Amino acid sequence: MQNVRRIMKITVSLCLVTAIVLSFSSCKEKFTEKTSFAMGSVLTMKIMTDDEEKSNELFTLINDAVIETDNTLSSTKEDSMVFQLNKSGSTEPSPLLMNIISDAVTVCSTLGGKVDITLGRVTDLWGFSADSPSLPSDEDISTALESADPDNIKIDKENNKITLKQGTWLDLGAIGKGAACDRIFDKVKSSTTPLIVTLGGTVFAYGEGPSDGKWTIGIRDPFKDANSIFATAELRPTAPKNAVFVSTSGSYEKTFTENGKVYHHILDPKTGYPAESEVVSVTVSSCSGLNSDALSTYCFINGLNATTLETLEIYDAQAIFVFADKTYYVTEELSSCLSVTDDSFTLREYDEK
Amino acid sequence: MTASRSGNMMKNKLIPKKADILIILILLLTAALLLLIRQNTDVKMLEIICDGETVYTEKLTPQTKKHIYTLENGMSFEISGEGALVSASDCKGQDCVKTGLLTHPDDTCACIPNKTVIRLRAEKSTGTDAITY
Repeated sequence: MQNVRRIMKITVSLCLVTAIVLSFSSCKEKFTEKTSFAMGSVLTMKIMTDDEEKSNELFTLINDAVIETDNTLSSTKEDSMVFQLNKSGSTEPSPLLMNIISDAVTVCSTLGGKVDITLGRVTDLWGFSADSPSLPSDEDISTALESADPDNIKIDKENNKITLKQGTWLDLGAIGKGAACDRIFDKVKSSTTPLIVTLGGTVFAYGEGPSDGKWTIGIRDPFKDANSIFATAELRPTAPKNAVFVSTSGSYEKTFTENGKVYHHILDPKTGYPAESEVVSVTVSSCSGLNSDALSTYCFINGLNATTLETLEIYDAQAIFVFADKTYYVTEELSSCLSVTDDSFTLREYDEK
Repeated sequence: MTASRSGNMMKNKLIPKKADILIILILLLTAALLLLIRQNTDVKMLEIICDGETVYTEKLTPQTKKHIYTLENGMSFEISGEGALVSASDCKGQDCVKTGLLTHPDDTCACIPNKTVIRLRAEKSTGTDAITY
């Protein structure tokens, strides 16, 4: 009888041990991952499945969506639709180009001229897109600025035509990666497999994430190297898309130094020069890639004020601003999902009054 | 007499039996196994991806000796137990070379002109699914 009890004890113990080991080894979610290059950036795709066929199918859909958007919006690729539009002044756009330009014009019109897709001649002078940036002359900037005006775009949906006023060039760099993420959503929305895509610094998360349905997004530390983060945000995709889009605009990206001064790539449409801001980076999350991209640029240029916060509210977007003095401000809804991992950052209070 | 017998019974109950010792050993073994799994997940895996294809992988341990790996596109990588870095590239900006040594899991360095990514990985999750920058 005693022997039977002992054998039972051993059996129970072994079962417990097996259960613990199995649960320990399977606690990590299965991701299939692939990295490629598109839109002058690294494209990282993580699919939450170990089904190779399913993940390969999604990799192809995502990659194709980004390439399609790049071939449509690039202002440096000679065969892209925007390049051709800049060259000829008019085009019969594809449905994708028509949608993106219509949406971009609508969004930009609500952002008080802080984001302008007709800044093509100015951005061309600075050369950030061509990876050969240099400081243009004041005169050249002033001449190029004359061609920039959102009203210079005429959209004729009825006859499927987009026309630019003579001399105006489009540059959709401020919203391009976000628009590509929107296109990815269009392609994967019928899938039930959760996935997360990083295109440059823009993140698109779809479906339930691995942390209790949430996705953990690291936010880059603007004062350290590219691999350092100072905070993480636990974001849950929201209805109706079951997706979330996150974009960051930072003055540490694409910079060059001339005569001892550092110039970054976020241009203020009013001056044609890099935006002078107390802000060093802004991260925005919203339910649209184009909106989150446009809003992060807008927040960087406009800074933290009542108008900026109202605009974020209109778009149902959340943001975290990081300032040069290592303080940060986070909008209410995002604050509950944010964990600042670096103690040297302190919270900045903002009083609307 | 009765008191002495009950004292002996108590003593017998307190002395661990063989089966109990076995259970304790099994539990200790489990703890050691879990510890071993944890240690193994701290091992870093180096991955070099060129044009979307993984062209080189190496498990980095403290015993890994410093060596150089060179790609056909001319990029060179200095690899050691501590981590890896891009030691040479023909790209204009040299941002990849300036990035320096990657030491932590999920540290990544990309050379856009050469379409090459170098990355450290660990089996153990680093806690983030993506990084926005």
